[in-house]
Amino acid sequence: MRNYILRRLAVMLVSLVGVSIIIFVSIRLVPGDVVSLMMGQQGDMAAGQAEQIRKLFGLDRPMYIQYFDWAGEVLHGDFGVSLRSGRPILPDILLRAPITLELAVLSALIALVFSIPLGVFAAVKRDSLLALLAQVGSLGGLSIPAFWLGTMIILVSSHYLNFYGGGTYISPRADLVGNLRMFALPSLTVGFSLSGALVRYTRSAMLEILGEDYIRTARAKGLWELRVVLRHALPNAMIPIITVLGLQLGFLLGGVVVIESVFALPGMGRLVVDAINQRDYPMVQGVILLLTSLVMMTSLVVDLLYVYVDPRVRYE
Amino acid sequence: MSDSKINKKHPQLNLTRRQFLNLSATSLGALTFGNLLASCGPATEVTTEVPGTAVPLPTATPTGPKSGGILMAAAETNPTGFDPQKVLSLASQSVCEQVYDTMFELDPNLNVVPRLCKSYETPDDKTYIFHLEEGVLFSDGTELTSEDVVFTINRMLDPTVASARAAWFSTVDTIEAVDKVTVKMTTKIPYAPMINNLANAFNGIVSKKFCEANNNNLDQVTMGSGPFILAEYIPDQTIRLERNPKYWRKGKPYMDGTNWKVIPDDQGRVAALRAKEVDVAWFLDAKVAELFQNDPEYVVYEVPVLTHASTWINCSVEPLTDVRVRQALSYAIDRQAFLDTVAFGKGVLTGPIPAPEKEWALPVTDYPQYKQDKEKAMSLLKEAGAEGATIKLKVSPQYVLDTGNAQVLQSQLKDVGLNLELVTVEWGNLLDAWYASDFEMLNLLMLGQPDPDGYTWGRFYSTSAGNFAKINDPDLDKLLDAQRSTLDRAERKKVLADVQRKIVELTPMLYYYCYYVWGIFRPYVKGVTPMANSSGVYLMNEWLDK
Repeated sequence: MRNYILRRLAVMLVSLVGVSIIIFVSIRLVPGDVVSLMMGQQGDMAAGQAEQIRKLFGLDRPMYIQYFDWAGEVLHGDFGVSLRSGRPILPDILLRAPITLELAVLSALIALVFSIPLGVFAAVKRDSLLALLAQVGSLGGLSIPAFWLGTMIILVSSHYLNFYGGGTYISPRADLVGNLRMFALPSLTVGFSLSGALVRYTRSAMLEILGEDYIRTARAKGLWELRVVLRHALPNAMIPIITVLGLQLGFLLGGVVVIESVFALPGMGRLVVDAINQRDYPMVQGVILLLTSLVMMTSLVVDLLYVYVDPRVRYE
Repeated sequence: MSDSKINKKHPQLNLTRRQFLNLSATSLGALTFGNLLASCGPATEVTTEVPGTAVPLPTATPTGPKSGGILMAAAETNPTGFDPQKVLSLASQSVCEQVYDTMFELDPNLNVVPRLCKSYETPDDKTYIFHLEEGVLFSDGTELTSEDVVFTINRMLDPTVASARAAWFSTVDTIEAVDKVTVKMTTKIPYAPMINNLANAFNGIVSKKFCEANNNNLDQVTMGSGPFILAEYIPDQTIRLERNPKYWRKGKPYMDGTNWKVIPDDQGRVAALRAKEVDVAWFLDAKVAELFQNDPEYVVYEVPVLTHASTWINCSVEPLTDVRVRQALSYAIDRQAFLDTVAFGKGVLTGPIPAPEKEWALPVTDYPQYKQDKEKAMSLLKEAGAEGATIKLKVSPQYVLDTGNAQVLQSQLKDVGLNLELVTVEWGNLLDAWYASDFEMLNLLMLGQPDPDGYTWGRFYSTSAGNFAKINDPDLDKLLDAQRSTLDRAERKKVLADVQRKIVELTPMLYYYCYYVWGIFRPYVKGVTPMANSSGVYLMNEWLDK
């Protein structure tokens, strides 16, 4: 197991180097640079001023020199400063990372809490009304755009409950209740969207498992149906569920920018989209590098979870 | 996922997740309104030339003004630094103009009035003697003197600071502190825009001592003499200002401070207003304003701004090199239709100087080219041999007004036999093309300028760095130089009238309208003074009647 983890970490490092080169080059190939975006529609810079600013930012140097300078600093833990705001990048990323992570984790938890029981029930009691409702609900989760759902939830809650909650992050250490209130609506929104797929995968995996011979044997031995489902069927169905959840978590970490905008959550999604729009190269590079690392770590954790869920799985 | 030794089937990745991503990306683009406005700036009822658009002046109430209270506001975007000589975004302006004082300021009608400089003289047309207010303190208690003014102007021109507004002060020849409250400045040429430039919210006076102690880097640290102090800034979350107890205008500001929450999405700001979590928010969308129009719990301010919708024309590209073709474009269109169709009638038609600049702007009725005349347009095209020509128009979906105007223009030019091919490009791509004059025609919302020189000389003088239309007309150049060097405002107004007529005659740009923005306030926020230049300089006059 230890060798497996070390191997995976080594592969991660190599992947990160590749990602850093790809993101470094690709953001610079996009038309427009930070100076053009800064000036925007002003257009009244003195002649030569734009070049002067580019020189101050070091953007006049050959690309490979800019890359090695940046990579060298990153290896020392220095992600540089934002070209737009002048603020150091790593503290700004670390300020936002907990917000995105909390949204992702809470959404996943909500999805799990609702999806697994519903998916199991939909498989076990296939012909019941609740099973039908679960399937319709899951279709809704897959089909309804999260940004629309979020907007509707905001409209209803602000109009009828006098509650919005967006704009300012409340740390759980400072005020746990306030923190949970702040994440309640966005987590429910994203959780509902995640549940759509999870309910269907859970139901589908359970249906397949419940048709297996060992389940028939367990029933023939006179075990309670609840024990058959929870003790024998569900653990075997968890492998694909964990796979899907892991993939969705990875997506969540980078893909919640719309939800962050709708609910005014100051997370990494908004940070990186703003940075791309503003061509803030060091910020884009720093955030993408960190997000890539997080997604890779999530993948590793999910793979390691398999060992605990399925004792047949062993890594060398 | 990894290739581990698992002998279970894995479900396929669902295509619906990609569909969701695509939907989200498209919707995000549709929801984004850009970063035009972020200020909770005091709005006012700016009377305009167009009847029915004026908002009534706030009347004095028997109970105010009261001191105290914190104004909660929703901001659309983040500031991008706080160095008044460097920053460009309106969100940064909103903070800088509260923290720093300028030499002059603009009143609600955009006329220059004294601020730090209580009076000035011009013994000749290249010399200014500024007399500063006495006893002005920075928020750390040190005195603001003429040395700080000299330092600030020199800082503007310092290549290591690389101020984007160095061009505004490039005519400065010498500047010196005569005594503690007197500054003498000379310019290389007579330069009429100087006073308006000194009134611009970005040109706040900084402390020489503080700058030197901070390595001349004010991106993240602030210390000014303005009515507020920047107490806290958390990016994407909070901008908190507190009253400056050492502010030299006694009794002001009335409020203890103001907290801005950064809420980029329109619906989020609407929700924050409805939930009473903020007292004020600004919007570009008329439909949002309608939601609150008849609600007694809110007051709606409708403000025409200096930002104007326009189309740039590259005068160095065939067939647009011919002035008859450009004039044909002007005669072919009905500008009111642009305003009615794209901005729902919420705006005011404009010429080269935006209509809200009441001191300088000519009424659009003065321009014969603004009266739609399709026959004349077709006749001009025939004379120029450009009938049936195809012209490319670059536009970005960054601002819905630009794309809307492009479609209306395409439709209207078709009526006179011109084919306008719309080329949609990404925002950064569009800006690059604009700066490089790599376009035939290009739609762009143009921002307000501190002085009419920015709308005229800056854009159309043959050797100006901002002449992206590549116009080169000696008569226009002469007029542009004349307006720049005419210090007497009444005389300058006459010259600028000729400049505007000449620009419209030569048509290096098509001008459409200045649009409205809407400020939604809780009714207990009093003393609100909306400004057409999106400035919040009169936040110090606002108070909370609760």
